[in-house]
Amino acid sequence: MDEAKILDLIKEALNDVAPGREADFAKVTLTSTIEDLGLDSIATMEMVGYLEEQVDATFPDEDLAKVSSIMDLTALVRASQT
Amino acid sequence: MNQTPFSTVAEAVAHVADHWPENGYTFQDDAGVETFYPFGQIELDTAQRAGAMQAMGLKKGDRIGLVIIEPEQFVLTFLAALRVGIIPVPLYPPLSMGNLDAYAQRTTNILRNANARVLIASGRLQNLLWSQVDAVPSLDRLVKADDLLAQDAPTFPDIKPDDIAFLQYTSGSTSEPKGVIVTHDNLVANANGVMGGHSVGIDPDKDLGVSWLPLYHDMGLIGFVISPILWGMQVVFMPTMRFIKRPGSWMDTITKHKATTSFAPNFAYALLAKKAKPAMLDRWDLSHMRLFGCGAEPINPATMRAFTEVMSTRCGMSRNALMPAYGMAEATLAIALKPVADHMRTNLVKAELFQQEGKADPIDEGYQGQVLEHVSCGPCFPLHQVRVRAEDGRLLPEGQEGELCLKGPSVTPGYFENPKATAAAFQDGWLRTGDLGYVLDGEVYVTGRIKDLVILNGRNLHPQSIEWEVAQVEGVRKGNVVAFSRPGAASEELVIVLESRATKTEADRLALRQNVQKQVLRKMSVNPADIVIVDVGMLPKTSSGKLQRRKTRQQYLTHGVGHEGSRTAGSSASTVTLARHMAKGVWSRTKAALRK
Repeated sequence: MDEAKILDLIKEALNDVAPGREADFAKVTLTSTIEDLGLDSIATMEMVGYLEEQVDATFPDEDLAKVSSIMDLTALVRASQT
Repeated sequence: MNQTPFSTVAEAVAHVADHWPENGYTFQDDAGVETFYPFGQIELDTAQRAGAMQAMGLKKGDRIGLVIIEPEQFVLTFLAALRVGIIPVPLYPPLSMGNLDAYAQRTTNILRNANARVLIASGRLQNLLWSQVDAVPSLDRLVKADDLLAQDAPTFPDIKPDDIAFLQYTSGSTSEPKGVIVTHDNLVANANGVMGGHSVGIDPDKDLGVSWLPLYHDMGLIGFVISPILWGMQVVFMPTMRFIKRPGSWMDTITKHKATTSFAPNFAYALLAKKAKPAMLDRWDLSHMRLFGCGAEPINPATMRAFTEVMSTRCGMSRNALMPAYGMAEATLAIALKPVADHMRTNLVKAELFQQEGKADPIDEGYQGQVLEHVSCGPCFPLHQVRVRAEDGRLLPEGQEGELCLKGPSVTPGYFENPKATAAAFQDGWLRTGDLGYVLDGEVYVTGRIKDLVILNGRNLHPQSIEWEVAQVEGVRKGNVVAFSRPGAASEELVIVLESRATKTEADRLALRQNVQKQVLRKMSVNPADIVIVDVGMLPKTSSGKLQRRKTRQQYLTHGVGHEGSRTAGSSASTVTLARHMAKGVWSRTKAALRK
C-alpha cells in the first residue's frame, strides 16, 4: 500500500471515530502531528483500532507510544504489511 | 460465603488452590489468544518470581515500580511481591501516542515519591524506561518482568494483616503525587464488602469475571485481581488496549466464557454503544451476566438506561444487571453498591430547590419545574459508615447535600510518608472524600465534588496540572487559567477558561484556542470540550486574588463566564432533558440497528 492510500485510510478512520469533522480531516497531511487531529487518547486509540481492522494487523503498544506524526503512523501501517 | 477464609492476600495466593483447585485466571494476549493458569500454577509461579526479587536483594518493605502491559506478567509479578512483603507501586504504561516526555516526568515523580528501589517493566518497554534509572536517585535497576526466574525458593516472611500491601498513586497532582497506603486488612475488608453474601454474593463455583480494566487502577486491580483471589473466583483478563481498539471484544469474551460479572466506568458503556453493530448484538449472549458494575466516574442515568434497554432486548441481559457503585482509592475500592436484586434506582428532585439549598426534595405528581436526576449507589457495606457534613463540620440530615465522609475497615491509614496530606484528609477519624452527595433511605447519592478534580474516562486529572500547561501557551495571561469539568453522556468533559490581553479579533481568539487545545492534547492527552477566552479581570477571584475554580464553573454552567450559547445546563448533575438529549446521540446508531 502506498502512502497516499494509507493517508486516505487514516482519513476514513478519523471520520469514523469523529463524524462531522470531515472538513478538519480533509486538511490532514503526512506532516500533521497527532495533536493536530484534536482527538483525546481514547478516540486516538479507537482510530488505531479502525486502521488495524482494515489492514488486518495489530500494532505493538510500544511502537504506538513512539508515534508523533501521521508520517510515523503511516510507517507503522506499511511495516505491518511486509 | 460472607467473608474470605484468608486474613492476608499473601495467605490467599499460597492457599487458594487448596479450596478451589479447579479455578484460576485466564489471560488474553493482544490477539485474544488465551492462557489459563489454575490457582495452583499461580502459587508456583509467584513463588519463583518472589525468589527472583529476593535474589536481587529486595526485602520486606522495599518499594518496586511496575510498568507492565501484559496482564499475565503484571498479575504474577504483583502477587509475587505481596507474598514476600515487597510493596509494589503500579504505574500506567505509555499507552497513547505522542506524549512520551510528559509520561516520563510523571513516572519519575511517582517513583521518587515512593523511593522505589527497582523498576520492573515489560520487555518491550525497556528502552522507553531506561532514563528512569538516572532520573530517580533511589532506583538501582530496571528489570524485565519475564526475566524474573529464580533458582532458589523464596523465604516467606511473616505478613501481618496491618502490613502495607501496595501503594495506589491515582490521587495527587503530577508534580506532587500522593500514594494511598493499602493494607492487607483494607483489602480483606473491601473484598468482604463487595463480594460477600449481603451484597454481590459471589459463588466461586458459579461466578466468573471478565475485565479489561487497567491493572494500575483500583477497579481493575482490587476488583479483579485481589478480591477474586481472596474469594477463589475465576477471572478472564483482557489487555486494556484490546477493548479500546475493539470494544466489541469485551462482550465477545463475556459471551464465550458465560461470564457473570464485569465492571467499567460510564464512558466504556457509551463507547460500546457507539461501536455495537447489529451483527454483534445478534451474537452476544449476556443471559449469564448477573452484574455490570459502573463506577470510577459520574454515572449518567440515561446512558445506563439505554444500555440496559438494548442489551436486555437483544442479548438477554437481566434488567437488574447494571450496578452503580461508589468508592475511591482512599477507601480501597468501593464503599457502596446497588443491591443485586434491585433495579437501578434514581431520585428525581426539584432542581431549583436542590441547586439553591442543597435539599433533595423528590418531585410530586404534577410538578412542572426543572428536574435533576440522581443515581442511587445503594447502601454502605456492613461495618462501614457514611455521613454527610456541612462546610462548618455540622452533621446534615437525610436528603441534604454536603460532603460525604467515610469510616470503616476499608479506609486507608493515609498517604505514604506524607503526614501533612494524611492529616488534611481526615477529620475526627472520618475520611473527607471531597465528594458532594446525600443519603436518603440509607442509600448514597453522589451529586458533585468539592475537591478540584476532573475525571475523564475514569482517569483522575488535577486541574492545576492542566492549568499549568495552558499557562505556557503564548497569549495566555499567566496564572489566570481555570480548568474544570462539565457533565457529558460518555464521561465528564474538560472546560478551560482563560484570560488574555492578546486577542483583539475573532481570528486571534480562534488561533489561541487552537494553540491551547494542542498544548493540552500534547501534555495531557485530553481534548478540551470547550475553551473560553475572557477579558482581563473577568475570572472570579477571592479578595486575596486567588482564583475561584468552583465559582467559575458555576458561572460557566449558568452561562455567566462571558460565554455565548453555552451548551450545558444544570448543576453538577445534568438535567434530565440534557442527559436524554446527549444519550440519544450516543445510542442513535444502535437504536437504528434495533429497528431494522
